[in-house]
Amino acid sequence: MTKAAELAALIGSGQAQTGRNMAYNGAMNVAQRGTSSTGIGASSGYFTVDRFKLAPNGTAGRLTMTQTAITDLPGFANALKLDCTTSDTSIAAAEFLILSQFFEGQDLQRLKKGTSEAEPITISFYVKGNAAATYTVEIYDADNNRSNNRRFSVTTSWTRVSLTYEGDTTGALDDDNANSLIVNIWLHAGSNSTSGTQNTAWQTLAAAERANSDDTSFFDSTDRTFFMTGFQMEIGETATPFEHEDICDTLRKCQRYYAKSWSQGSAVTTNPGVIGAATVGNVNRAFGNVFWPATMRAAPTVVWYSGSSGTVNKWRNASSGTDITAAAAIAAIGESGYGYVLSAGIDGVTDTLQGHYEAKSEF
Amino acid sequence: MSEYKNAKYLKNLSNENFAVEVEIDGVASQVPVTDDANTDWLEVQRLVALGKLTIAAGTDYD
Repeated sequence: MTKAAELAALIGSGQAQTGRNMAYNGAMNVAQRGTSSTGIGASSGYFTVDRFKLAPNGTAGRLTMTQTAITDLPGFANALKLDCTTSDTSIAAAEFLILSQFFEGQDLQRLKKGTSEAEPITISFYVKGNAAATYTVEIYDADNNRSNNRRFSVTTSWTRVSLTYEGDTTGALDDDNANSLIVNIWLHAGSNSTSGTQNTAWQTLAAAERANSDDTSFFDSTDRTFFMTGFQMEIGETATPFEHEDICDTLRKCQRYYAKSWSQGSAVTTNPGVIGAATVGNVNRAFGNVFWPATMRAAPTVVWYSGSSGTVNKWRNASSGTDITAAAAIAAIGESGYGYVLSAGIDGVTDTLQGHYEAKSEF
Repeated sequence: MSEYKNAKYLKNLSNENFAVEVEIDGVASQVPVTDDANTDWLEVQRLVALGKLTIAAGTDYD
């Protein structure tokens, strides 16, 4: 084969292209909030691996979510792991457990959704569990209230799942920073979501057709586990090899949605002596700036922490050894950063003030 | 669903409301009122409209 032919074949295979994978943190390498969270099941949120949200509803089931190191899948060092710690075998109609990733519409214009040239979407990932299981992956178009579903099987060994969804010629996605598309992995569902015939083509959302009554419930046993990595969403009808990216790119992408002043290896409120933000005081007045490490999706919700104790809603006056009222903005909280003012608990110009932050603009 | 409670406005140096300080699942958080793309602010507004949350006035800077 000539060099030109080799290059053409490489391009055709998709392996030479970057930016194919529209999903975030697919190799599960970034977990800014921490690597393990227990007792999940009462409320939704982002607990460990960045960009992967767990949304439970109405269930007594509980689980532990971890970013776990793996050595049994060449090319991957980390996986997202769910481990059932409290089972729930009495499934009420409204119950569910969904593992999701949310997408901005402006990042998905390449899908040409809502046009006659709408592109097919292929979602792929590696998965394994403690035993055989079957779950559902739904793509939900939040702009137009439309959905499409596929089922997949889990075994006790790593298997690459590839699910293709036809292009949707109805319903364009908004070109903005709001949520337009959600990939939902249904892990537990009551009859409100399973009593109909599961839809496997794009249609207006029908609540009873989202999951499948034959799907496994993740909460059926405390033996149940679910491992996933290599999560990819791309255009086309074929899953191309997982597009690895360096940690810098992955972290920067994740920081559009969540940022913190702690070192990446330090969970929030731990090791608070690491400086997040610092300023020098005047009598009851000090100013400073924090710039987020990446421009955030929207002006974020901010939580301040004492730079010493890690206490919420406080800063630390290191000179007097006391925690003082958290900073307020000089003008506003922005996508790029925070100009802050502290206005109490400062004795004079020799005072040194320290604070940590979390900035959140997730969906 | 997260729980939102104990909300009050926070004022900036111009004595304008720049954020709502609200406990989200028990964590005191500053939610900017200037960006409707912030999902916490959308939820705060929804709860206020439903009468399930009130926002206390902020304190002026001197």
